[in-house]
Amino acid sequence: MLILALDTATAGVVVGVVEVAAAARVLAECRTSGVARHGEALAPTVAAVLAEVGRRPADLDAVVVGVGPGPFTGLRIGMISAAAFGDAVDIPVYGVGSLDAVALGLADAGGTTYVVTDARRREVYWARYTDGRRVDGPHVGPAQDVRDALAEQPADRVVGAGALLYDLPGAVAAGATAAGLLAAAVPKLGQGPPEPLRAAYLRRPDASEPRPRVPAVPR
Amino acid sequence: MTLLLPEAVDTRALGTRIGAAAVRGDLVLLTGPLGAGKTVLAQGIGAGLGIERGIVSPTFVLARVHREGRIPFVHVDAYRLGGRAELDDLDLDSDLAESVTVVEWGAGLAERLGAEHLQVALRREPGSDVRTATLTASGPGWAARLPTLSR
Amino acid sequence: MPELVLGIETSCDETGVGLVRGTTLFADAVASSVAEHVRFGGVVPEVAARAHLEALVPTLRRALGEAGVRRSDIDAIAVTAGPGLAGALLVGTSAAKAYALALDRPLYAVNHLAGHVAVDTVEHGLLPTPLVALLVSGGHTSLLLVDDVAHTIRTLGATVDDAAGEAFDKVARLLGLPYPGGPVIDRIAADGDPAAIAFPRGMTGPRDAPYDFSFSGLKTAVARWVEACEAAGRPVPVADVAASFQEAVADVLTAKAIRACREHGVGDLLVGGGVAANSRLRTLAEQRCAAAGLRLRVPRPRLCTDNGAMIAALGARVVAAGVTPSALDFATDPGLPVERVSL
Repeated sequence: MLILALDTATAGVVVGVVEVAAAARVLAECRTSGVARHGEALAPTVAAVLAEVGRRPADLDAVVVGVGPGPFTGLRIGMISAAAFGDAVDIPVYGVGSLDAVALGLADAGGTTYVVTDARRREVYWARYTDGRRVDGPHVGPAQDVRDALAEQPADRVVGAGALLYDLPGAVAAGATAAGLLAAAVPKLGQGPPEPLRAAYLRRPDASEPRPRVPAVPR
Repeated sequence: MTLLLPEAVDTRALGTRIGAAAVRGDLVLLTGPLGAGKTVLAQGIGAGLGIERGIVSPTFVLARVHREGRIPFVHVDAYRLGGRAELDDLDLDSDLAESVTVVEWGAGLAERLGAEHLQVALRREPGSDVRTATLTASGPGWAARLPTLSR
Repeated sequence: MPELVLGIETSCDETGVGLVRGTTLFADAVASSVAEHVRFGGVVPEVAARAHLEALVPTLRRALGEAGVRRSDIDAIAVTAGPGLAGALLVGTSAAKAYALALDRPLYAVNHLAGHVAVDTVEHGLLPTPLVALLVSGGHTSLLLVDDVAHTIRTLGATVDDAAGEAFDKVARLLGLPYPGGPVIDRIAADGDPAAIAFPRGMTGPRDAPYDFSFSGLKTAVARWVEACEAAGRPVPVADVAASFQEAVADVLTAKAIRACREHGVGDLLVGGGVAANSRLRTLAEQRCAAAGLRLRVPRPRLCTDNGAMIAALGARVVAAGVTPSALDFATDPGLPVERVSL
């Protein structure tokens, strides 16, 4: 089984091609970091990664994509690309949690792990894992929420750009990987048609109806 | 500080003085009902920055970035943004710290975009085209420049 | 046989997917999120972008079903690269890039405004050249000189403040009418007297730019008139205000469009964009074109509002002109000028 794995829930794009037989093997992977412009970078990266392994889109059997949480505009670019790609070659598209793909991509995920990414607006997205299984979250909130959680449930490791940004104790860099995306999708693969993709925004659209308005005409 | 603006050219001239006095990172909030002259004032601010054309109402796209002046000019209409809105989600290709940001309908909402701001409350006198502008500086940067804006 | 072109449009609140071969329309599927924007009094970018993500693939499937074609029948893909809302544009362009890559078909990043001109090819056939186009919508008001819709368009003039459609929305707000303002003002104006109030015609002085528009002063004049009415304790004659306002807009738009045709020696005028659905604008354009001996082309209202067919129709012209396809890494441009028909 040949799988295309994508994630655009953080500042970079993650694209990988994974072969799943008895075990999963990442054939090729490209991860950009920094201030990637997802809309410009993603499609050429997919083309390059496929070319690197000498496969065509029609050779793929499924797409796995991170559905967030992550900043909305970037997140949507990965999700719509996965949905369109899957529709074009008529293969299933599986959505997985983007924080899960970080946790499950770690070389060692034993014990308690916090994954913390940047949610902008002085907030973070975060979740807690025990032995690679999500036990709390995903949440969006100020970094102080994570500090409070850490005080109650100490961590073996705290990872992600949000952890570094807010200088959480013991923070180390880590992001989603093709292997992590695949590991998060494994329970779903081959279990019938995938559920419709739903973005994990965790926030409502900014426009708020009840905001009192200045009357157009002064009364 | 309240100024009387008998005609549209006076509104524009006030904008030009604000634009000329503006520095990178400045935030200006414009308030006032429909037809109070917010876009005309914004056009003046643009002129003060050296942008003579192309500043039109940002209502439809919510935000426009003009780069042809001496400092990038970010022009925002916040009428349809509310709650915890921040410009982040508009994904402006611009660093607000490097720009002059003018927000129409931004009072009560956009103040946190900058450490301090200048608020310009525009009002049209009922039954006439005479406007008044009330300028309020929220911090030392604008307070120091306020006197230069009256003339 | 000309190529079958898939067009994808997500510049604002309509998710549009169209299929056009040459000048023949095969499918025009649209999903609108306008109902979600009504309570906010205008299009909310984040709401629109979320709706595009949900609607795009289903809308594309619907278009294929309407046309009775398979994905492999598509020869080329065209997509709106701008102008429009940044987050909304990115959903459509990302989808188009993925389809182009997965289906191994050429991709054309094209201009939304040029699409409003090109769409008339599926209604009235190939465009005469040159042509003057009056584009009026919620976000745009411009007069264009179109030498070739596939690559040579020049802006003669544009609004210096509010777009015409925006003026309709704002005047509706002044009158306490719901969003979107265009259709409701059109309906209410039918019962009013367009000559009841002499609202100003902006930018029509001898020293004003002949092809530029201004609707901000008109909006202020309506606000003043309504205020004066209320101050005097009289009920606001909403139908008369609506009809007189609409008359002022239609008068200026058509007068300047006809002048542009005359001064450039052009015999054909096209009116497009969402505001071209306005009944008074259509009628006045017909009367004035007939009087001036000009041929008028106005696509049916369904094709004037945003849709995928206009992008497919433009794509068909661009493909036919032999334009080089766009690279997969092209960037969207929310402020794309109409002079750049494709990227």
